[in-house]
This record gives sequence, C-alpha cells and structure tokens, in this order.
Amino acid sequence: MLKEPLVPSLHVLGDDDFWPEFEAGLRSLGELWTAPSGRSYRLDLEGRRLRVDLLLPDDVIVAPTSASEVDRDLFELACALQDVVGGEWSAEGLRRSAELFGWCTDC
Amino acid sequence: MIPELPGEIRELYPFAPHWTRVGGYTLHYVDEGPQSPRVVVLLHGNPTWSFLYRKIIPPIAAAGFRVVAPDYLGCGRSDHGRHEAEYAIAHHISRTMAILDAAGVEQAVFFCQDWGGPIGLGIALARPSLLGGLVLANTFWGEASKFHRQIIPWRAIHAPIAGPLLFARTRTFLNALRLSGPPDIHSGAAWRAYNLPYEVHGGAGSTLAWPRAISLGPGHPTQPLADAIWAAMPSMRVPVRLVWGAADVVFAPGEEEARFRERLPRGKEHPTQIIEGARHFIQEYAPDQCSDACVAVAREAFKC
Repeated sequence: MLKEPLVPSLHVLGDDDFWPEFEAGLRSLGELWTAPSGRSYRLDLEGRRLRVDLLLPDDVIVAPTSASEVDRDLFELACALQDVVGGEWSAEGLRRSAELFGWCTDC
Repeated sequence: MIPELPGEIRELYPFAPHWTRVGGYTLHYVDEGPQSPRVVVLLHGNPTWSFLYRKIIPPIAAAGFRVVAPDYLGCGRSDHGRHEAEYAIAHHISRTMAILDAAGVEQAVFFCQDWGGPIGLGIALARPSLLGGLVLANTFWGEASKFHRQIIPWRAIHAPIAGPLLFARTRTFLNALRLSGPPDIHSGAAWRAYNLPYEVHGGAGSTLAWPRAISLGPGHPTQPLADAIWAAMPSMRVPVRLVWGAADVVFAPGEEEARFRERLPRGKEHPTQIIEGARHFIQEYAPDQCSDACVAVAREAFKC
C-alpha cells in the first residue's frame, strides 16, 4: 500500500499560458529539476498550464524555505529554460533583462 | 476591490470612488466634473490605474467637462480576476464599455495611453457612436512595436517561468515605472499608490497578461482585434490630437505615432505635440499638456 507523504510538495509557481515553443526545452529539463542551491523542484506541464512545486522532506515538517531563496531558484530555472530553448533566448539575456528591471542577480 | 485608500494616497488622489458590477466583478471608476453629456474618458495601461490621471482630471473638469477614468479588472481599485483568460483585451474592452454604460456615457473624447489605445479604439470599433474624439499618447493598437519584438529586455522577462516570477511572485516589473516615469514617482506616496493594488490582492493582477497580449503577428490571439482596429481607423472621422513623450523607448516618436497620423482621417490636422524628456508614462511628465489636449479636442468634438 502506498504511503502518502507527511509533507506534500509546495506549489511555488504556476504559469497558465506556457508558450508552446518553450515546451521542448522544458521537457528536456526533466520532470525533476535541481537548482544550484540543491533544492529540487517538480515541473508538471499539462497543456499550457505549468505547475512548479518545491520538493520537501516528506516525513518531517520543517521551517519554510525563505521566499527569496525560492525566488532565486526559480530565476535560475527561468534562465536554464531560456538557455535550453536557445536561438535568440539565453540565460545571459534574461539576466541582463531582469537586471534592467531591478532584479538583483547577485543578491 | 479597494474600498478605502491610505491617507497619503487620498491626498494625491482625492476623487470619490464609483463602483459598478460587471460580469461578477466590482469595477471602479472616477467620475468628476459636471454631470454633462460632454465627457472625456481617460484610459490607462500597464501597470498603472486611474491614479495616473490625478493631475489631469481636475483641469478637464474645471473646463466644464465630465471626466470618467476607469480601472480595468486587475488594476487599481477594481477587483482582480480569477483566471488569466479573463484579461484578454477584448474582455477589457467589453467591461470598460459596461462601465461607460453604467455611468450613462453616450459619447466621449477618449485619452488613450499604453493599453488605453487598443481599449479605446476597441470601444470605438464595437460602438462607433461612443467615439467623439481622440487624444493619443504613447500608445498603439495592439500590434507589437519594435521594442516589443526584442527579446532583450522585453520578451525575456515575460517568457514562461520568468513572467510569473517577475510579474506575480515578485513585483519586479513594477520597476517599469521607475524606468519610464519621472523621479517623483520612484518613491514615496506615488510609488506606494502604484504598488497598492498588488499589495492588497497579492499576485500580479493583470500585469503579466498585458505583455503576453501584445500581438507579434498572425496566429497571435490579439491579432484579429489589432487587424479590426487597424481596418476601422479610417472611419474614425473625429477630432484627433497626439501628445507624445520623445524619450519613450516602447513607442518612440515616428513609429506608431506617425502611423496613427497617417491612418486616422483627421490625424494630420495638428502636429504631434512632442514632449522632450518625457518617457512612456507621459501623464506623469506632462499632465498639463495632456489635459490641454483633452480640452481642445473636447471643445471641438462637442462644439463648445
């Protein structure tokens, strides 16, 4: 009998309008993606709806991960996606663009 | 909805709220000046709300015109939607028409900046009798500008995952106001006023849906609307003036501005008033010039 985890994964980001031209890139990242921080995320794309969940220890309740740390992970994921899509898209391009709008890539 | 505003914002934006129910949502609009059939409607864009018009509303009302300034769904004091699909431009047009119907507006001069262009022109497309005149400012009709087509810095930030992160989970995109607005809105009460709808509701409201609604060409969901507006413009035989910020990187002078003047039958009756140093949120740089243009067009439209 399957045992449900004590702690389900935590939904951290949804995109209801995932662009079809990015789908192959997302699938190439796999269903589980690990950020440079070591935290892992489940990527679940159904149609044009993407769900990103933070994987947590499933047998013990721990203090929440800080939102800013998750934000940094998600930014790395966004960069990884634009890099793997390639062509005119790139992680470097996203970093430059986001910095222009005030995103701190070194924080 | 946001029923009450903090005192520091009320000081800058002292207008009584007006509310109407549209499609299950409560939408807000400003309604100032005499209750007259001579109406000026002020249409905002992203990521602003009718607060953008706080310095423009009083002089138009003082000139004897009724002024209506709506907040779209997902903006300002209005409700936020439950699904991204509710923010399709055609739905914004429909809801704004419903606000005008609720307010009893039968004809108006439309001031259109940013997404106010597609919305105002879309209203004119849907109900030509509503259009009495146009003032166009740093706006378009729904098709991407040169800036919009660039991956860096525009498309990259609202691409998958990046978009929900930078627009919804964080409010990074609101820094567009700092990039394209004057220093006095970069901090203080004005800055907090622009952030307020997203702090109260959490999330992005409609801010992410807007850039994704810009049509990049055939096959894009907004392209049919943009095409219909473009086709209808030669029939919009109403007084027109253009006021344009020279330093706008989104809609630089000579691009959409020039095409509007060519396309609208009365677009060349007056030269475009170019405001040197003004960036995209021209209402913040040159409110007097914006209100003067509205009054000039309204006097012509309503023959008064």
